[in-house]
Amino acid sequence: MRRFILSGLLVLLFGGLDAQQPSVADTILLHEVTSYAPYKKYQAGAKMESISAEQMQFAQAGGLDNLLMRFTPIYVKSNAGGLSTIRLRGTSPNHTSVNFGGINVNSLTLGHSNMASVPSYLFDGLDLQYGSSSAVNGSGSIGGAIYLGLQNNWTDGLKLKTTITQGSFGEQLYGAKIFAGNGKFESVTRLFYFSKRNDFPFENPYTGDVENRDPVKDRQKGAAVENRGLIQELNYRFHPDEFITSAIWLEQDWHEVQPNMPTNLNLKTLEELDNQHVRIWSEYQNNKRSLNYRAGVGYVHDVQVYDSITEQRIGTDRLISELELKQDFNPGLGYKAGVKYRYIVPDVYAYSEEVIDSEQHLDAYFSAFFTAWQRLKLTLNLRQSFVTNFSVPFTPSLGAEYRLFTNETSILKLSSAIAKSFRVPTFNDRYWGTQGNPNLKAEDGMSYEAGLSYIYCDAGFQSELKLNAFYMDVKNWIEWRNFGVWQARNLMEVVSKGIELQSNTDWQLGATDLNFKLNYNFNPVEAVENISETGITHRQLIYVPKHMGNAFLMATRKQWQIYIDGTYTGSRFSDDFGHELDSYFLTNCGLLRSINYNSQQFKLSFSVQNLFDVDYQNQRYYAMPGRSFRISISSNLNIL
Amino acid sequence: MKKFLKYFTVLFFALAVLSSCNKDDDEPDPFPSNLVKGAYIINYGNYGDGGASISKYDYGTDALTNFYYQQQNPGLELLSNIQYAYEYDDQIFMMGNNPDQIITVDPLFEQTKNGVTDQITKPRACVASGDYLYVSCWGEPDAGWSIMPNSYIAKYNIKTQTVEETISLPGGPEGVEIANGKLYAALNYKDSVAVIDLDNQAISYIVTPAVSSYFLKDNSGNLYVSLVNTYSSPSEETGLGYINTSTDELTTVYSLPNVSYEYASIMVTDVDQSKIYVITSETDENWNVTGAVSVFDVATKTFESEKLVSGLSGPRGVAVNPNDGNIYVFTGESVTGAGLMKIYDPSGELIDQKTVGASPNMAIFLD
Repeated sequence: MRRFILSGLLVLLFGGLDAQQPSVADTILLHEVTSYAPYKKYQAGAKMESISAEQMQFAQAGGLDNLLMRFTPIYVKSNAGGLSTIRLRGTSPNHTSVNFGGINVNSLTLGHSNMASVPSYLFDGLDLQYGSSSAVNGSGSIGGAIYLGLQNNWTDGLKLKTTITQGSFGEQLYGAKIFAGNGKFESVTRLFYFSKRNDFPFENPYTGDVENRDPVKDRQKGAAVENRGLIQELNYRFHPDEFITSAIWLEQDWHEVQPNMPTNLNLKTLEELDNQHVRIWSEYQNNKRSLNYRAGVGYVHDVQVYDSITEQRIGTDRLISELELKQDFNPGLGYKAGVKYRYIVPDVYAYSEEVIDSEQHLDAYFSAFFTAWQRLKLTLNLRQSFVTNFSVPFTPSLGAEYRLFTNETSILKLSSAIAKSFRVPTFNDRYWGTQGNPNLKAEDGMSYEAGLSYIYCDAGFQSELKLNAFYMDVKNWIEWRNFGVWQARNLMEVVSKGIELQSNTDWQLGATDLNFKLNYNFNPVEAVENISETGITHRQLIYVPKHMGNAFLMATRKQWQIYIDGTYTGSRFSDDFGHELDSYFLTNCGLLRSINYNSQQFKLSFSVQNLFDVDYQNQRYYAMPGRSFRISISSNLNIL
Repeated sequence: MKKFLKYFTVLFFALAVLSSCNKDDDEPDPFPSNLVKGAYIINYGNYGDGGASISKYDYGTDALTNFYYQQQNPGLELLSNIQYAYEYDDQIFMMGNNPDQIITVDPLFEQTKNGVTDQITKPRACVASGDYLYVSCWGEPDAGWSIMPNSYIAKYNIKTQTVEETISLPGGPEGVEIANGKLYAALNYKDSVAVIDLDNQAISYIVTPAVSSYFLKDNSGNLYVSLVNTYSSPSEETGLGYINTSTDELTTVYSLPNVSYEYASIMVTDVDQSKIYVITSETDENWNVTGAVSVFDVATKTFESEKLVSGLSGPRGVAVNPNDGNIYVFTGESVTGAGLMKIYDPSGELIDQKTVGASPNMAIFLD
C-alpha cells in the first residue's frame, strides 16, 4: 500500500497540478484512513506522520503507548501498563491533543489522556502531527496532535474481522469488527476486551535489606489491567458527496496502580483506578456545491473513580457542536471557516459549585491555502477562542512548502511553519478545592519549524527521507507546586528545540518486499525561566530523553511476513538532583502467516517483545517486563 | 591471715574497679562529637516514588552534605518516604512510608539492621519511654481517607526490635507525647486528643474544636497542641490548644488562623521555652499562597502581632538550633526538586539559606 501511495504521489506531481489534482502539500491526504483527519490540507509545512496498518496490527494489544514507543520517536513516560503520558517534542502530556472526530478526548480535569487506555485495536489508522497546531486543533495542541482514524468503507455486504491474542503474563485480547451495509448505509461495530495480569518476574534491587544487599527475584503485584470498549458507527450516504457519519465510543478502563519496586516486595495495599467514557460524534457533510459545509455534534462523558470511592468521583460532561464552511475556488486557492462550541459541566467532588457549575468555550477559526507556480503552497490558520471568565490569546499560524527539485524519480521539498499555540489551564488547575488558581494565564507557545523531504521512487525502490528542525518557546508553563498548599501556577518558560530524522523505504528484492523505517530524534528541552525559588533552569527537563530513535524492518514474501523493530531511549533525569535513568534499547520481532481459505483470509502471528530480556526502567523505581511472547489469530471474513 | 584476706579483698576490688575504669576511658567514643554534631534535615521525598534523603548541616563549619544517608551507607538509598525522625538513646528512628517501616540508624546515620515492617502500617510519629517507642500508625485507611478507622499505636520494643502490641486508636493519630504516665495522641481525623493510660491502656478523649497534629510539652508537663484545618476535617478554629495533663482538659485555645496542616514539624519552642514558633500558610485575595512563622509568647499567652518571618513559599517545617537559638525554616515547592533551609536569627533576620533535599520537613540536632 505504501508503494501505491508513493507512486500515486509521483504520478500526481508529474501530471501537473491541474484542476483535479492535489498539490504536493496534500500528499498526506492520500493515506487511506484519515477520514477523521481532514486538517492536513490547511497545514503546509507541518510535520505529519501516519502509522502504517501493519504497525497498527503488530501493536494492537494494548494502548497507544506501545505503538508510539515502538514506531515513533516519541517518548511516553510509563510504567508497566497503568499510567502512560506522552512527551511530544519535550512538552508536557497536556500539550498533545488526542482527536477523535471533532472531539479532543483529553480529560478536561487532568488535561491529558492516559496513552495506555487509548486502545490501538479500535482504530484503523493513527496520524501524528509534530509541533504546534492550536490554530487548527484549539487548546492544548502545543507539542502536537494525535488523530485517531476510522475508515469509511461504505460496505456493501457483511464482513467480519476477528482477533484473538494470548500473551505472557496473562495478556489476552479479544476483538471483533463487524461491517454491514448496502453501499449507502453502513454499520460498523468494533469491540474489544483486553486484560493482563501483568505479574511478570523481575530482579528487585530495592529490597531495603541492609544485611543482604543482593537483588532478589520478585514478581510484579498489583499491576493488572482490564479494558473493554466499543465503537459503533452508523453512516449513511445520500450522495457520493453528501453523507452523515456517526460514531459512539464506549470505553471502560480499569487498572491497578502499579506499586514501585520497594513497595512491591511487601505489598500491603492494592490501589485501583476505574475510568469510564462515553464519546459520541456525529457529522453531516455536504460537498455537492462549491460551498461545502459540515456540521457536527458530539457529547462526551468522562468519569474517573479511585479505589471504588464513588463519592470522590471526578467527571465531566460536555456537549460539542461545530459548523464549518469550505470552499475551493480552484485547486490552488481555498478556505474554510467555522465555529466550535462546547458546553462543559464538571462533576468533581473537590470543586465548589459556587465557583464553577459550568463553562462555555467558543472557537472561531479560519483556514486558507494558496498554491503558486505549481511549486509553492502557503497556508494560513487563524483561531480565536473564548472561554467563560478566561482570556485566551489570538492564535495564528503560517505554513509554506516549496518544491525545490523534481525529476522522473525524485522530489525534493522544503517546508516551513510558524505557529502560535496555547493551552487553557485544566479545570483542576483552576478549580480544585481551595487550591485551584483562577488567576492562571493560558500557556502561550510559539513554534518555528523547517523541514526538508526527499522522495525517491523507481520500479523496485521507493524511499522517503525527512529532516526537520524545530524551535519552540512556551511561556506561562503551568506546574503544580507546594507553596504552603498545593497550587498550579504559571511557573516556567520552556524552550524545546530539536532535529528529527525520519525515513521510510520500500524495496523489492525478487519476490520479497522489504520495508525499512528509521526515526531519530534529538530534543534538548530546558526551562529558561523558572519563578520557583529552587527551580532549575538550563538543564534538560525531567523525563525527557535528549536522544531517541527506532528502526523497523519488515520482509514480506508470499504469505509470510517477518519483522524486527528496535527502540533506543536515551537517558533521562528523574529529578532535579541529577539522578538519571539509564538509556536502553528494546528489540521486538515477529512472524506472520496469511492463509486464504475459501476466499476468506486468516492470519497467524507470533511475536516476541523485549527479545533480549533487557532490564530497564521507564519511570524510576518501577519494574518493566522482560521478554514476553504473544500469539494471535485474526480472520477477515466476507460473509455476504 | 584474716587481716591479709581483708586487705587482699579490698585491693582486689580496687584493682578491678580501676581496671574497669581504665578500660572505659580507653574505649573510643563510637560517635565522636566532631563527626556527629550538626543539624540533620529529614527530606521526605516524593510520596510513593522514593526520593527521600538526609541532609547534614554542620553549623560549626557551615558545611552541608546532601544525600548523607547514601554517603554513610554506600550502595543503599532511603526507599521509604521519611515521615518523621526521632532521636533517643543514641539511635535515630525514622518513620518510613511506602514501604512502611521503622528504620533505625546510629548517630552517624549508619544502618546495620533491616527496617522493621511487621505490624507497622503507615507510621507517622513516635515518642519513647523506657525501652519502648510508641508509634502512631494510620493503618489501612478507609476508602475516603476521612476517618482512619484502622489507625493504632504500635508499642515497639527498642531492644528486641519488635512490635509487642498494638493499641487500636481510630481517628488517625499523628503527633504523640508522654506526660504524667499517659500517652497523648493528636488525632488528625477526629476533633479530639486521645489520652492512653500506659498502665492499663484505657483510652479517654479530650474534645478539640479542630483536628490536631502535634504537641509541645512545657516546663510544667502540660501540652500545647496544634489545631489545624484539613481537607477532610475543615474547621475555622485553628490555633494552639493548651491541655492540662493533670486534669486532661483543654483549658484554653489560642486562636491563630491558617495553622499549617503540613506534617512533622509545624511548631517548635525556642531554647528556653519562652516562645513557640508556628508555621502558617494562607491564600490572599489574589490567590497567592504564602507562608509565615508566627510567634506565641508563653509568658503573655498571646501571639505576637508581627510575624517573625513572612513571604515564605512552600513552608513545611521549623526547627530551633539548641546551641544558638537560630530558627531553621524548611521550604519545598517541588517533590522532585530541591528544598530550602532558611536560617533566621531570633529577631527574624535571614542569616543564611541552604539547598537541601526534596520536601524537607524537619530537622534533628545531634551533638
